[in-house]
Amino acid sequence: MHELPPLSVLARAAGGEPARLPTPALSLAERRDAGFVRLSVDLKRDADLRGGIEAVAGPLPGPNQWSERALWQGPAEWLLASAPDAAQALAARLQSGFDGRAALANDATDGLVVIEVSGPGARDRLAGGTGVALDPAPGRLALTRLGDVRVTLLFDGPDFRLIVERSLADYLWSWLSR
Amino acid sequence: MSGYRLSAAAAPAAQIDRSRPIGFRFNGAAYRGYAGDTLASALVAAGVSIVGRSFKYHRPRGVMGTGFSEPNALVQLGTGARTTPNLPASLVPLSEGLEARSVNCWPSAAFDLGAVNDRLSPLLVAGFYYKTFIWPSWGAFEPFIRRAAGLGRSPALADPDRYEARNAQCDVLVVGAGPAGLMAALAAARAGARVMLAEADQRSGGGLGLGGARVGAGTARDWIAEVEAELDAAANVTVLGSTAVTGYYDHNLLTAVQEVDEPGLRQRFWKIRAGEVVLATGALERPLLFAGNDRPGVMLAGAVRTYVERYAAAPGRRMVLAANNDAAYEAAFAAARAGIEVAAIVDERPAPGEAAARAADALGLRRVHGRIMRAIGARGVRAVEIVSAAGTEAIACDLVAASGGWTPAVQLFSQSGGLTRFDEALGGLVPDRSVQRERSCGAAAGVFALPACLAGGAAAGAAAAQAAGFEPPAIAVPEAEDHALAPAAPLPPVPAKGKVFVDVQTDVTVADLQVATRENYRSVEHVKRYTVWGMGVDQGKLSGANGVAVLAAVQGVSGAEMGMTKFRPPFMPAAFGVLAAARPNGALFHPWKRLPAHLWHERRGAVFEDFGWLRPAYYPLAGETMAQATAREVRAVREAVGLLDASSLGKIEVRGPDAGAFLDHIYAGPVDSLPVGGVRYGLMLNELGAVFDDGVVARLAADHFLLTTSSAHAAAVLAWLEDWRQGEWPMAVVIQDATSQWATFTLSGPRARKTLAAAGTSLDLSPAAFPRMTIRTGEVAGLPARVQRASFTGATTYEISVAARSAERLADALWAAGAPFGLQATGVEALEVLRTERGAIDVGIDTDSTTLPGDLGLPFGGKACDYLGKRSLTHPAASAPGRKQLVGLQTLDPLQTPPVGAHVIGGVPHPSQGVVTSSQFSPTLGRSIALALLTDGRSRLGETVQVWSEGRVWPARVTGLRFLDHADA
Repeated sequence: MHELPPLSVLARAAGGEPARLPTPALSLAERRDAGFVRLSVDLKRDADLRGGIEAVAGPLPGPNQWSERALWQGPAEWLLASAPDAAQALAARLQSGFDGRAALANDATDGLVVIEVSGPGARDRLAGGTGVALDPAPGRLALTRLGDVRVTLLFDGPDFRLIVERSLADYLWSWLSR
Repeated sequence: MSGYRLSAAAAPAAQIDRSRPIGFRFNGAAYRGYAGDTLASALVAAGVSIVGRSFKYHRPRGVMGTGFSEPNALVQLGTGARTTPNLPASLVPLSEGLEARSVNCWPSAAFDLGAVNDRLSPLLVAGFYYKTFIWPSWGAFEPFIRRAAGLGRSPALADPDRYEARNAQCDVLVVGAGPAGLMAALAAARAGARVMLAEADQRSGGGLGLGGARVGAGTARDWIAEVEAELDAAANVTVLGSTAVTGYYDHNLLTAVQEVDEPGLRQRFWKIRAGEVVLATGALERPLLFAGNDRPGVMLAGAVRTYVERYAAAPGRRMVLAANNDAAYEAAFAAARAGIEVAAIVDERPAPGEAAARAADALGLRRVHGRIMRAIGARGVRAVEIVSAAGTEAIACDLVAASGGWTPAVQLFSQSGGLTRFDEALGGLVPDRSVQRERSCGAAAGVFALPACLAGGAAAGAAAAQAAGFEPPAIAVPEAEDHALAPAAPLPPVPAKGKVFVDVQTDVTVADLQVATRENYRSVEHVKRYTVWGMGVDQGKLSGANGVAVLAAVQGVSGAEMGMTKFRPPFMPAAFGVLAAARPNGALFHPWKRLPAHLWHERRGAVFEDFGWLRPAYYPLAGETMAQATAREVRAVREAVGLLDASSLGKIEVRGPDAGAFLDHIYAGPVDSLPVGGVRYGLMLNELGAVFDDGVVARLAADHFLLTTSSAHAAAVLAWLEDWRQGEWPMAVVIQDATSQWATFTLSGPRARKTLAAAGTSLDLSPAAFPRMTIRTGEVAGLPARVQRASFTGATTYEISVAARSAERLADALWAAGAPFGLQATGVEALEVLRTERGAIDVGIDTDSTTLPGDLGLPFGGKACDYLGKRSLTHPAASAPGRKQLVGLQTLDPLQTPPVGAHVIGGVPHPSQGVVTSSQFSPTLGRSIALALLTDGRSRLGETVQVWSEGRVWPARVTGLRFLDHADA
């Protein structure tokens, strides 16, 4: 459906390359190869839907956990990873299995921006904006506020990934690189 | 001018670097000190005896203490934008080029005209301004009082320094790196806990670092260095030097201010979340109460020792020690060893401790059992008057080292919510019961003997680590000499002539506390506020315990019954800049939100404004003003077609078998009756029936709805829906915010349909196939799109939504397609005119928190099922007269446009009958139009009213809301 190449949200000119800021202390990089499906389903109420969802999207991680295939977003919400152009098809496939139940799968690729934060200064920079403990914790994520912006913070080895709403990505990038 | 710098031989253990002299200026004069000095120690060594003037009486004052315990040497540091008021000189590390001035004196500290207040002191007793400045009115005096009040001057320029915020977490936070704190940190660190150790001083060790005490096999200094090395090397320990913990809040959140020695970065503000806290904050020395106890030359005994031993700064040449405890003797010993003449040790107690007495005798010091009554001398002590069994005696001296014992520093403990107990033997508060996960040790817990401090610290550190889930190994507590800081009760007040200061910083005397008591101020909190005792920069660190003792004696109760005033953060003065460090200044002060097609608008020359989102306000052509550009954009929508970026509108999807029923409960109007593909305007009300948001609901499928909310309320509406879904109504429905996934452009105007057709679409655009208030899914310009027909402008409108990444491509396609039809880009300014012309409301602008649907002329009550606010709308008040109702206003002079916020005047009893909420000049109508919330407005159509703002008046006619007919076909 989406025949356009994904554009950089953070480019300062149309059609630019994904934004990068490599400095010795702090390295920032915008990832444009990440697609997402936002899944809303209350698996306490509709427990029988889990099997069908996990058959398509893989195991759904528990609270504050993430895997390369799925990220926890709340008691009844997940982000499922996909290739950017495959998200819509994945959403449609999941939705068709819900059979009129209270569940919703939507392509969320365009609404989210992923920023990789790495380097020896990464932790201190993030610690200036969030009260979350930043010790390496593979597979952990935190829904938190970073410099007044709501983010999903993924612990990725010694590094971090931030998932932020598209509209706030430009501000967050400026905040991180100030 | 009796202070001087001790030679290296006289002060062999001093921690200053004589190879690194540092030049600084104080009150305009140039001085020299050394690296390792504080401003206070450098001034003492330079013989500057008068460092400031007192708060009320402008009495000359000299350095009295060290660290946090310095009430007199308050300085204004730096100049211009970098000036900082009211810093105790004892907390200012000396640096090259440092420039400081005394506060609260004019023309100078040495000669201050304000000192006339000292002569007027009978008029200036406690509460004098409540009593004196009553007639004719307080207001007549207030400007003069305000000018005289306060100490330093706040900077007039923006702070050029940078402050940094840092959050941290640890298993065990140890506050204070004295002997107890070091042991606690060591014990917790060896257990494997993540430890943070914060010390306000540049050096750790506390009082232990001064003298030649022995700890373990070596000197105290050796032991401190060993512990420091081990802590520094441990990966699980963070040592923060020059870091003062300023606040202790709930859930073991502590704040700290760290002095940072980096270019451009002044301080770092820490928020530390600790599993367990060990408070090793030490103790504060109490001054003695005698007449003239504020004179330059009267110092705390511990301070004398510190200046002599640590800074090689002799505060005087001939000293008298007045004390009631053994620990104070160390000051006399230190002075004697450094070659300062010790004229006498005057001890309140009949029999001092054996060791202290022996040591004094060994040094050949004269000991007197007696009491100091008076310090003689105005600009500096010349002698003291003592009373003993032998009678009254004057002893010549230029330095009085006074000690009334030590009070545990329980400020942070108290802030944590912990309960204190008044210890009569100690004459101060000690921690009694912890409320948070915290423990005190060392002098902070009322334990003064060095071996007990070391053991107590080790035990506290181990217990904290254990409580945090670690297994502490046994830790050897080093042997130590008992440097007993034997506790001493505070002295009763001394009845003597002259002023006996309880709080030297705020000039509160024993007489003031007596007056307050006579006037029936009994509670310590009341006395504090009436007299300003303990309300200075030091927040009563020196005066708290003595004040309680005096009040207890005057009221005839015990110290425990008297109680203590509440300790509040911050523990020490902190710059506003550092408290706000987490929020950057300048452009990053507040997050901005960018539209997906932000760059496209930039290329079109848009002027952006922050409406919650950065949105194009208007697109000026060369030479155009905002009004001209707006008028051109409005005309395009009325006569041709306009293109508006509406991506900021909230888009919320609701899905589930109960979705229709859920939304029927949420909206005041019917939703579940909407056919698939239909769109309906709706109002959301709160429980009071007041309008909360308006927007449109589209039905995408039987169980699937799309809500479009106003841009500003999207987040609030989402939270509102989730609140009711999760917390109140167990319905089978899920909710998703899809706002940022989509980019939305609207084509609005008589040529909108032609433009959309020209852009290429798979949709049948004929009004029969795609009528008003419907939604369709198809392709636009080759892009998958949702197209909704709902109009805010009153003109034919298509809202086209595509995936956000395609925003610019859609905008380009519509731009190209619309060129032949006169398409113009339109901004928010034009939209405001367009929607006002049509009488469409902007919730929150044209409504307030009391506005009901009926006040907007919108029907309600026709829906059978329950919905939010329904009950409130049936309340008689909802239809009672006197409500503010939204109406149109047309000025009689059509070219006059009153401002938003102008009042409709002439009401009774209040002159305002209402407020203009929206006001525009309509290029379409060639006249001004306005909306106003007007009392009983809907029954006053046709009436002429007076609109007033800032002295100007415009007669205007009350009209209906719609100034222009709908043209949405």
